[in-house]
Amino acid sequence: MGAWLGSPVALIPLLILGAVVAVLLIASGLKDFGLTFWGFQYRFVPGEPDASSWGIGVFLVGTFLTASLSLVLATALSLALAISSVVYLPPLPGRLLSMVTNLLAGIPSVVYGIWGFVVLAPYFGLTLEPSLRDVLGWLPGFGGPASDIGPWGTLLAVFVLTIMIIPLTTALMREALRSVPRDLVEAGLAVGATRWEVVRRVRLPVARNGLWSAVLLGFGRALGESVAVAMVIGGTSIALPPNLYASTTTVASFIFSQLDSALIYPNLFVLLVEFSLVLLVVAVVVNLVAQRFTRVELATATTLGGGE
Amino acid sequence: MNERNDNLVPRGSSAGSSPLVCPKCGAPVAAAGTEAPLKCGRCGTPLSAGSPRAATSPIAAASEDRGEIILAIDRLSVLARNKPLISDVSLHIPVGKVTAIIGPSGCGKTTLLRSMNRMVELHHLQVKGTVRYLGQDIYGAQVNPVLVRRRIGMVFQRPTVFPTSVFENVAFGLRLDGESEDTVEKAVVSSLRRTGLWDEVKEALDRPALTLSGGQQQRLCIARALAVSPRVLLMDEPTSSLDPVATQRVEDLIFELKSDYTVVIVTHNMQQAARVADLTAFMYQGRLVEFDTTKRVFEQPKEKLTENYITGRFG
Ligand SMILES: Nc1ncnc2c1ncn2[C@@H]1O[C@H](COP(=O)(O)OP(=O)(O)O)[C@@H](O)[C@H]1O
Ligand SMILES: [Mg+2]
Repeated sequence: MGAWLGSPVALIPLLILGAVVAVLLIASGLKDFGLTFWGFQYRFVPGEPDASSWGIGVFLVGTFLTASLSLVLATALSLALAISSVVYLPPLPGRLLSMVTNLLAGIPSVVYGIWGFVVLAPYFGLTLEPSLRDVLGWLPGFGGPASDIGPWGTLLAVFVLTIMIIPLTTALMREALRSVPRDLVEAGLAVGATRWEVVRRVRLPVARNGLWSAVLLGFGRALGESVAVAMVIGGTSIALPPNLYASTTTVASFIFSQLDSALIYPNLFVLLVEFSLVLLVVAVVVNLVAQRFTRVELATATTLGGGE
Repeated sequence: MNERNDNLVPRGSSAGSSPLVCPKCGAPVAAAGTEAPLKCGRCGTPLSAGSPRAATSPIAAASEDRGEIILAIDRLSVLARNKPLISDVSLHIPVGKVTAIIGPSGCGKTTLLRSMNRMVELHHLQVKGTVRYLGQDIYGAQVNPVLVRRRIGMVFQRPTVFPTSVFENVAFGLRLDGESEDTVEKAVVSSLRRTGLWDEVKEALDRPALTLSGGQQQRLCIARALAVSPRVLLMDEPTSSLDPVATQRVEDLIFELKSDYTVVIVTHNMQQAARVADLTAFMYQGRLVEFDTTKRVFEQPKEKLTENYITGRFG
């Protein structure tokens, strides 16, 4: 520990983190982190700080709701993609699949946003949402009316987020699966396991920590995404969504979409800074947990004696 | 031990309905669910895979050994992108013996061994020629490689324990079959006893297998291979990562396993071959140079190349 603290270069990331937190703390003036801040009441009266109440509750629920749902979808899809490219596909198509997924990671958020807004939205409104309502309407969240503002809403945001985090989670899961020592895989096959049985009983358990770390980093990415979400989530109502078709809002997309107003209303500006602080803390926590998993992974790899 | 079925073709597939038959009288010999005899029950013909082609390869069979052949390798070549790793190898491995494969590093020992249970396929290598297990071509179109590996088990150069408990490591193959807890437990205990590990680990069955010593881990891998009742055990330099004491224990174990299993062991250690093997095959640059009883190979080799290697003039 002392060794790396002693190195000035190693201090740079720490300084950056410290500076960001400090600036945000000063800007917010630590005005209002009281009980109302963590509540669900949100009322903004321009120019009248006393009549306004800032509850972050709705935004946090929107954030965790969209991030968790997209994470569930992304985890399933990435796992399937990672397993097929590492285990099932021949080397060339496997590499091609990796290349394409990596390329997707480089596409700017705003492009995903406009794609969701223009291409996905009509499909959602006309096809997907009606059929989901028909088939899964009995499930909480899947029934109920469409939103009056159109197809933009929670579900669309979830889908766009899913597409956006898949490249990251797939790449990380692929690495985790690849790092499983080849010896162990062959040992499984040598006892007469099929390839699928080796995936289930050797690769997934051995890569477990790396896979969890991938899921958490994907979660972190989804929690913090602002631009694309703001473009497709509707963003007209600051209320808990009655169903998945309704519009809602997230901490990040709210900050992004209210910046212009914040220049006019100082109390809104302070609020957005406070929101960023919360987002920062959440992101740091998620990443720290993810890193814990990665470290455990390294430790197991060493005790295993590693493979080629 | 659970039942052995030597039919390598999955049940239900068309060829599966014609089980192993005696090459001489045509009587079926492997009824499902029973131990397949190594001799035909009707006419007594050994189920060796002796084929006309084998006779054309003079060193396929060891001179003094006319026992039953469990694995018949004929004119086998393994290629990587058209480059041969081993060429035209014919080797008939008799049942119930320990056969060693020796030769300098890179001569193709591992490749030959891994072609005996279709592990070469995992590296996208091309296989020409035949490998027959009790008369069935293990590369046959209908043959399921999973069944091949059930009958022809493998132990690797370094211990390959899974990061689970001692018990679950040995149970691994049995769990795949969905055996009852009772059957699994019996087989695990009997495999651990067979490998002499039982007394060392019986108090620690739930401990992570990675906490065992290297030698214990390697014997655990042998126990895991034995738990699914193979007939043949392939070992690729199984003691190269072990200290002398652990090596001794594994060698003792190999010697004991002979009564129930056929062992094929690759080793770069000639003394080890001399200590444990009944038969020794010497390979050089992808070819099989000599195959005979260990005594002959070491005391009166027929080939100059073998003699040079044995006497330490290269390698
Ligand atoms: N998958 C593979 N692709 C290409 N070449 C290989 C592969 N595996 C082994 N070889 C080559 O084949 C030769 C024989 O290897 P191997 O059977 O491992 O030899 P040994 O076990 O006797 O040391 C070596 O020259 C090795 O580099
Ligand atoms: Mg080798």
